[in-house]
Order: sequence, then structure tokens, then C-alpha cells
Amino acid sequence: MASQTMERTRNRPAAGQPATGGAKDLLGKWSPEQVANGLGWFSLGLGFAELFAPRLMSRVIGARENHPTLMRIFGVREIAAGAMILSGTRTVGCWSRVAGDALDLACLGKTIATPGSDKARAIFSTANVAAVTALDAATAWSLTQSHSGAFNVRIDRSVIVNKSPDECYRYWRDYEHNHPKFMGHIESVTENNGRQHWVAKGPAGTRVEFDAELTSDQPGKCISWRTLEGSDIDHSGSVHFDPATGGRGTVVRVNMYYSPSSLASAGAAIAQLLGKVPEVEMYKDLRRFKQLLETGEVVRTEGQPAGRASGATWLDSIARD
Amino acid sequence: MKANCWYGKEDMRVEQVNDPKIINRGDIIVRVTLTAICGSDLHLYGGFVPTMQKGDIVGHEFMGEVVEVGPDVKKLKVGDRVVAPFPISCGACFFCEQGMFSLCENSNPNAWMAEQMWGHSPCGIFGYSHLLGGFAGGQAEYVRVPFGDVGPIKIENGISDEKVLFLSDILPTGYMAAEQCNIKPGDTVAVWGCGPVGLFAIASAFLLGAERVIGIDRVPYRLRMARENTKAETINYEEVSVLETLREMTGGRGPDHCIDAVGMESHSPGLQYAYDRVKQALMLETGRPIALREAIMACRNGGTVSVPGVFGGFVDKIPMGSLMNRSLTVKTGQTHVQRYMRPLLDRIQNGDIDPSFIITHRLTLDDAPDAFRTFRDKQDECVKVVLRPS
Repeated sequence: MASQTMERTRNRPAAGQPATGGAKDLLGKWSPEQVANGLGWFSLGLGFAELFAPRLMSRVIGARENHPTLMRIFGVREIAAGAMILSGTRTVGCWSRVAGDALDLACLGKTIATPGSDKARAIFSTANVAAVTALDAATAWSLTQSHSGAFNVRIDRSVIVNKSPDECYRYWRDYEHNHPKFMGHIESVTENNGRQHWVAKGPAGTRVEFDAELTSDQPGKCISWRTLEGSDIDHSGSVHFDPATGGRGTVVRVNMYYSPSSLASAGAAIAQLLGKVPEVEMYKDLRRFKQLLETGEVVRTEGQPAGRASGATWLDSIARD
Repeated sequence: MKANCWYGKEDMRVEQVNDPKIINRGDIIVRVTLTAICGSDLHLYGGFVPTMQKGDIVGHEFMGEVVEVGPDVKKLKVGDRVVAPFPISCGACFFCEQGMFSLCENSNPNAWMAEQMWGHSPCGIFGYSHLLGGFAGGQAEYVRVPFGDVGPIKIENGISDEKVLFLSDILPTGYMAAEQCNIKPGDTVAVWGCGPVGLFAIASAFLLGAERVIGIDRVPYRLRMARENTKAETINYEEVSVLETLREMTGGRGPDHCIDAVGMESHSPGLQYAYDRVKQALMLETGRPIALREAIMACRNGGTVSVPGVFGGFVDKIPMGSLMNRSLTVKTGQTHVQRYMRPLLDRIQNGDIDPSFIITHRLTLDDAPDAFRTFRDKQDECVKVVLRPS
């Protein structure tokens, strides 16, 4: 019912153009994304080995004493990094591998310094880890580079609404009255002569304000906008109101282009898990838009009775906000 | 007010909580006169349903008197006597308009979460975890019912609570399970589970024209209830092999339709149970589909396997080859209760069925925590527990 695609591109692509991948030539013919995937599988394999055969792994690196619990913890960390990379959050996953490598190098350094350890093995392991660290860092850096630049994150989401395109258009077009009702992070919108001033809730109770203008407005069909110079946030986009098949209402389709500098990439992986990334926020906004148009309200449970202090919980907040 | 709240596995407590209030403009508040414990509540009790939070009010089978209406409510008035359906449905989306009320696109505020698990979200449900909206449930003195004009059915005459309460869930559930089989005159239907839903599925199968209905269970008093209240024949699966017996009873062909009214907490005396129990403990399986597998294997070629029994996640070793190679139809779903309430109320008022025959325990809301145990452990010949809030 609400669907999405996300592409990363160097520049804002022309309409209908496909995205191109990141910088090639990292390792000859492999792109950074492919190398990252390889590292992800490597992390999983290594992690499982550390988790299920910690004593064997301790011997492999030449440690004198067994620290199976520590090795298992390292294993869990490796698996987490690998899972992160393979599930799509590559950049953060690669940087977390680099952090893990730094920790590994520190521990190996201690192993070399400890009397009674198998120094040859420890040095050999350290050399290997150092090489992998270089690869991890180069991959993570390359992935980060391919994200920089303006307006190169594109998000598409759509929702099917059991109302006509005209009704959907009219509801969307009345920004002042309606957008704060369905857009979760918007406090207010004021419009004057095609220019809009938006006030949004930022992270940790801050407020973000920006100005935008409509670049095109076709009643019953589509609206396009972009933020103006000097705004805190850079984005542009359009919303289309297409008749659904079979007379089943309207497919409301939003394409937006973001500048990723307006996203906090350090917390991106966690944000993704908690559903607080732009594409999921947009999905939730569009669901609320649909509910308002079809039923007149957004059903809530905040304030309902329960055998605890509040009717709704953190779990509901993750799903809704 | 008092309400029965979930605090963990096998930990239900009746607590003093706030009274509900109107939150959305289409809400009504119902003062509960009678409520019940559902078999699916036992999955909550056993800790098998994820996204429960301590303090959640449980219960989704309830009826009573309207005591407050929101500003947009037009059909109901204060003082009306209503039975509330367990699915919460907006009445205005594609699915509600098609009569598929349990698939409402607007009534689960936590739809994003359900999508991660199931691909798309069904409707919100009273008292059945935050995956399905986190709505306060009906084992309480008062309940807030969203979309008051869409769901609850008004009871106009003085018919007793006990005769109409089960319109909220289990009677439509048994009926829809039987209806989904597309029963033709002369058909034989086998029903796994002679608990409340199974008993109503058996009764409904007869109402819909089945010539023979066979109830399968291991608890003698439940098999007896099936035989004494319907024309069902019964099989005790701890005494005989179900598959062989069904084969013999149908001249080798198998029953025309099979209904799994057991769901994810299925049981069997043999190795299958051990296999599934272990996999469940290891979190490699979230339910035990023993009855489901058997229903599939038993069903005659080209027949229908109808599954009202609740499952939550992923189950193992489903005989897909048996389904595919023999043209079986599988029909499932959370019941579209709103669709069945009026026709079944008519059936009850005509005397075609008296649903109160399944009630074995009449208790108060304060007894709810103990009643869960009694119901789950089938003590005291328990089949259905109804609870009066005061």
C-alpha cells in the first residue's frame, strides 16, 4: 500500500534517469558496495568462529591465555557489523568495522607484548588485521565520499487512497490546515503568495525552520516544491495524484530529494532500525494522510487506560513517530 | 475502574486503572456487562505473542451499554445496548468497503511494525499486543471503542447477554471458518479442536449444509459437548490415529473440508510434539502446526483447509507438496466479524442456534487471573469462561 525506492546518486538525476553506483576502481573491477558486502560476509564468518570456537581462535592469534568470553563478545560485535553491512547500512557498518579493527589491533599489540605468547602467530595475525583495517578504512571512506554533494538522496514513497485525485490534491494543497495533521515532525506551515514558511521539530526538542516555494502546481495532478537558499534544510520534490487502477481511488506518489548533510549519519543505523529515517517517516506521514482523507481522523491510543503510568508505550512511539 | 492486565508470562492481574475517555471523535465508551476469555488470550498468557507490554489491558470479547459518544458518532446513543466486534474497522477503506473488516488499513496505528513482520498490516484489535495497535482491551469495567458507528451492533430486545456475547468473536469465527469451506450438500467436514471455536465451527458446518461433521480432540468432556449439542461424530486423537480413522469413515477419500480450530499451540502425543516444542524453545519456530499438518494430509483431493486457528510467525515442515499436488485450497484470516453479526443475530433470534451452550464457568472480573489457568489447563471441565465486571 505504501511503497518506496531509495537511490544514491552523485547529482540530482534528470527525470527518469537511473542512479549510478559509487566510485568504481576501488579494487580494480569491484565497486565499494561490492567490497563492503564481501567484508560483511567476512565479518559474519569470523564472528561465528569467534562465538562458537573461542578457544581455537585464541590459539590462532597466538594468545597465551584463553579468554573465551572476551572472544565471544568480539564475535558478537563482528556478527553485528556484518549484519549491518549486509542489511544495507553499509557506510556505518564499514566504519564500525574500522573501529573494531582498531580494538583488535590494540588487543593484538598487548598479546605480542605478553611474555609466553606465541609471538610469531600474534605478529602474523596483526599483519593480517592491519591489512584488513586498511581495506575497511578505504571502503568506508569511499562509501562516505559517494554520499557527499547536494540533493543526491532520492526517496520515493506512495500510498493508495480511497478518494479521487481532486480530493487528495485539495487536501494536500491546503498546507496551513492539513500538513501539521499528517506530517509527524511539522509544527506549522504558513503560506503567502506561493512562499511558505515551515516550522519543524528537530531532534532533542529543537526547532528547524525553513522557507520553500512551489515550483509548479497543477490542480488534481501534481505539486512541486523546493526549499529556498539559506534554509536549514535542503530538499525538493513533487507529489503526484494518479488515478489508481480499477477506479480504486488515487495513488499519491511523493518523490523527494534530500541533501544528506541534513541527516545525522552517525546515528543512521540505529535510526533505521527504529524507523526514524526519511523514507519511513514519509511512509508514516502518507499513512496518516490516507487515514485523514478516508476516515477524518488518525486513530490514537495515547491517554487510554492501562496498568502502568501511560496508555501508549515506547513501542508505540517507534511505530508511529 | 478495574481491569485485567498482562504483566508477563502467566501473570494476569486485576488492577485499578483510569477510566477510558473519548480520544477520537468517532469513539464511544461502553460500560461492560459481560466479557469472556478467548482461546487466543491463552497465547498472550503463555507469552507466545511478542510486543506485549506490562500493564496492557487484555480481552476482546465484550458487550454492554453505551455511556458516552464522541462528537462524530451518529448511529449510537447513550443507553444503547451493544456487542462490540473484536476487529477495529474504519468502514471507509478499500477493505472495509469490501466487507473484509479485519483487513482495515486505517485502524492499526502501529501498522509499520506489523508490516515488518507480515508484509502488510491487518486491522487493530482490542487487547492483543502492540503489533496490532496496543488498544486497551475488554476485560474491564469500561472500554473505549473507536469507530463506534462502524463496529458495534445494537441489541434491540431483551435477549440475554449470554446468548449474544459471542457475536463479538467466536461465533462469527466458527461460522466464517465453515463458510470458507464452501460446503456443498452431502459434504463431510472434519474439525480439529472442540474448544469454543471448534464447537461453533461444527455447529456452523451443519447450518451450512454439511451432512457429516467430525470433531477431533483429546479431552473427553469436550468431545462429549460436541456430540451432545450438535450432530457431530468425534475422534479422540489419543486413542486412535486420526488420519486412519478419517480415511475409514470416508471410504478412503478423506473429509471434503478440514478446519484447524487449534492454531499455534497444537499438541499431539508423539514425536511431532517434541520436535515442535524444542524448535519453539530455540526460537526456530514460533508455533506448533501439528493440527494444521494433519488437516492438510487428511483433506480429500481438491478440498479446502480452513484455518481460523491463530498463528503469529513462522512454522516448520508444512506439507507443501500435499497442498500443491492435490489441488487443495487454504483459506484463513482473522474473522470479518462485522459482516456476520447481523445474520448470526438473526439466526440466534430464530432459534437456529443458542451459543450459550458452550459456557461452563460464570465468574466475575476479579476471578480472571485464576480463570485463565482453569481455562488453559482445562480444569473443572472448563470450555468457556464468561466474566461479569462487577
